[in-house]
Amino acid sequence: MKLGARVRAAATGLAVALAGASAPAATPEELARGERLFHIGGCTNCHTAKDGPLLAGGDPIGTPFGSFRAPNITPDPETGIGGWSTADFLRAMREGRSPAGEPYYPAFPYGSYAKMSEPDLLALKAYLDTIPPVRQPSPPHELSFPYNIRWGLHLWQWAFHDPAPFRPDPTRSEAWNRGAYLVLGPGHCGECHTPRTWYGVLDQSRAFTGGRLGKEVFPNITRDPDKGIGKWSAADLRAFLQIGIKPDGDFVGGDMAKVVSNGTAKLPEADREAIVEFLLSLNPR
Amino acid sequence: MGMRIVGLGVVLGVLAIAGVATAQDAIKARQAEFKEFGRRMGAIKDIVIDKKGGTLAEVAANAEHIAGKIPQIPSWFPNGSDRGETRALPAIWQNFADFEAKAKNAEELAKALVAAAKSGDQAATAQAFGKLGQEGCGGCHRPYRRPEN
Repeated sequence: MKLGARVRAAATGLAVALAGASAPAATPEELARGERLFHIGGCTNCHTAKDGPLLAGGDPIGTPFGSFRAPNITPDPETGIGGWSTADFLRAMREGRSPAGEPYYPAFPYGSYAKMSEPDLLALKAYLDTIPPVRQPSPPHELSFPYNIRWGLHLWQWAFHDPAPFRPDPTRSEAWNRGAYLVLGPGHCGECHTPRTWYGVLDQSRAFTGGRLGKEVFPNITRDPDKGIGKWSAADLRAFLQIGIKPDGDFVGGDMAKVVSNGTAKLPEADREAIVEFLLSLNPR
Repeated sequence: MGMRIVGLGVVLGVLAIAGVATAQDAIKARQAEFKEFGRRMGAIKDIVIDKKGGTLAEVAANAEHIAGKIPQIPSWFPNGSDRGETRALPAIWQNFADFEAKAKNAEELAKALVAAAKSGDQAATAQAFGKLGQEGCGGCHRPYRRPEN
């Protein structure tokens, strides 16, 4: 199945490549959809520095493996991704590889983005193409040994990366499936809220039970009443995603404040409802 | 001589304990104030976001309490009150001017919420409320408060 998905991904990439560089101009609907995905995808949280130009590269992200720098993803052809073909973009988002075939570190959450549908990925690219280009070279990551050995990533991707797109569950409602797609795919919530195995892979047997990265702790968001958000009502969760307020009237801080203000706050009401429906269906753990 | 040293030791010890006690008192006091903010913000949320009933006059009254208290916030963080049972980060005292500026901004946003609620405009009130929470409260919770664990 994994292989099947790979072949499918490669075939699509080829088809897109054959279709030529001149992609048809995006429709206003496509751009609007791309913008929505850009928000829920949280691109700017990592790719924009504090007080820096939009998407021209982010502040260092400290991890136990070293410091990552999310690169310039504005359409500047030399220092950004303006020179990328559609196939390049799809390969990066689904397979975690650069146009030159170099594997990306999974600090870039392609494990989640791979679950996005092709029309959504294309809409996102169309929207990113409208961001003002900024000429600003991306500084390299500063990682400690042995994580600085990039070829190790080939092995990691071969062993662990599953590029299969999201598959809806026909026994669930349309809203639930929409929520699941947003949470598991573009929203990449599990990248922080799901613990990782020793290999740095999301441990899906403990999905959404809370994660940890160095000193940073990300809470359990299952329905468990003590460890998770089991005491929250649907209205509590909706208000939280809308403006960042918790049931006790406190306003969220830390990175989640950015996720709300740059992301979930900007979604249409129906998408927030869908996320609430999916999250509140998660088994308490 | 020996007595004097012992005496000095006792005095210093008492001062140290007093210092810790004052810091702990300051922490307790401000936590009570912030809890009250939370209670009132929650009451506003019930009205403008969850639409559980209640009036914009109640919103204005709660926002007025908050707007009136915010200017005191910097005084709730005396030097040394990062030590104790608190999530306040030392960054507050390393950037105190910025901390004060953020409090000032929060005060303006709270006043804007009062004005919006008094104007009777539901949508503008909801918007001003979200802004106060995200930029006002969140403005400091983001850089200056340790996340919960």
